[in-house]
Amino acid sequence: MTKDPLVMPINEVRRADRATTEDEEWIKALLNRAGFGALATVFDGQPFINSNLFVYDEADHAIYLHTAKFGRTRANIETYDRVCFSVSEMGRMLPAGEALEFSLEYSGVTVFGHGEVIDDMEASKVFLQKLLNKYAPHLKPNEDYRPPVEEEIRRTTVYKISIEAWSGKRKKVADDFPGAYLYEQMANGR
Amino acid sequence: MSKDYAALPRTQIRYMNRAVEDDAWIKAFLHKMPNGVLATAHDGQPFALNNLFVYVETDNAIYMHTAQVGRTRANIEAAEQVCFTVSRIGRFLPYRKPVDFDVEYESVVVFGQASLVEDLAEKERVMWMLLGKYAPHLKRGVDFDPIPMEDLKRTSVYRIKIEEWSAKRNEAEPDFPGAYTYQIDEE
Repeated sequence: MTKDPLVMPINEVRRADRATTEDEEWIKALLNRAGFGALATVFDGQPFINSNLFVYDEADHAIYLHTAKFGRTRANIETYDRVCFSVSEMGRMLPAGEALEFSLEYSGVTVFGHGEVIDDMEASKVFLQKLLNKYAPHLKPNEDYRPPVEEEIRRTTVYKISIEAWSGKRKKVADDFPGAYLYEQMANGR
Repeated sequence: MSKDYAALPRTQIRYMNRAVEDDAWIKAFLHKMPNGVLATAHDGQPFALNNLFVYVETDNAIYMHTAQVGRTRANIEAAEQVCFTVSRIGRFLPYRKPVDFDVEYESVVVFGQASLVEDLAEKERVMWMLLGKYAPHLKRGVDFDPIPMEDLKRTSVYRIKIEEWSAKRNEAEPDFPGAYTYQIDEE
């Protein structure tokens, strides 16, 4: 082994031919459209991972999400602020005669940063409105729902993940790739 | 804060009315879902990796593979504790009060110990199980050549021995008023 992966940059992509880390617009677009992400935290060497809705805020270079008022995520982040956050999309499976050449189309972004609890009421309100704007663009505050009130916001915990590094990875092939198929099509009836 | 949440069992689900205790449901979910996210840690830094995987009930284990060398292998060789999650979201469920705004979802979180599968015959068995899951219509010996030993040496195969798991689910009535799906495709 020529390089020790443990001392490489945390966002190093081994498959350089699939890395999209340099294409920041592509990374931002995926973070903006992804429906949910997986947040990895750690406590005493034990990793934890959970899935969450989120908002990517380009101006703040941050990801915001929220959980229950108290629980594992908050306890972990208050003790260890290092986090990793990942979003991905899976495309078509790409068969090959050689088993280890079997592949698939995918897009993924991994973010490294530190998490913190947002205590500020105004910042929490701004986040919740952005979350609603992202996930319910067809619904309007004061018409379809009433804006969040402080008492409700206090019942939740809002986190800011300040982005320190990220990486992107992508594989996409020609539309007419022989035998390409979606997993769901073949796995139906399972 | 009334409780020390960090001291609770790692599979503790705070929102008990959404916890799934049904092992058969958890197993079926792990069998059918196409991808999961593996969390490893090194020196207090967590890493999350999306990957294909196969759940093997008789082994009480999850298997996956990556490149021969890289961050995942190095992390696991240094620290075997991992967490793995599989999840999907369903419809969004609007409410007048935004705090009640909700989403349908299903998710399983697995805690376990990861180890490298070194034995070549065992690595081959795992590769065929992966292909059996992802390419059920393609047959060994017909659509796939035998796997050369050299190829097996070029990949890292991991066994995640399942120690415990938890699951959560939220599903609304089919006619929930205003329910909709969120999906934005790449342009």
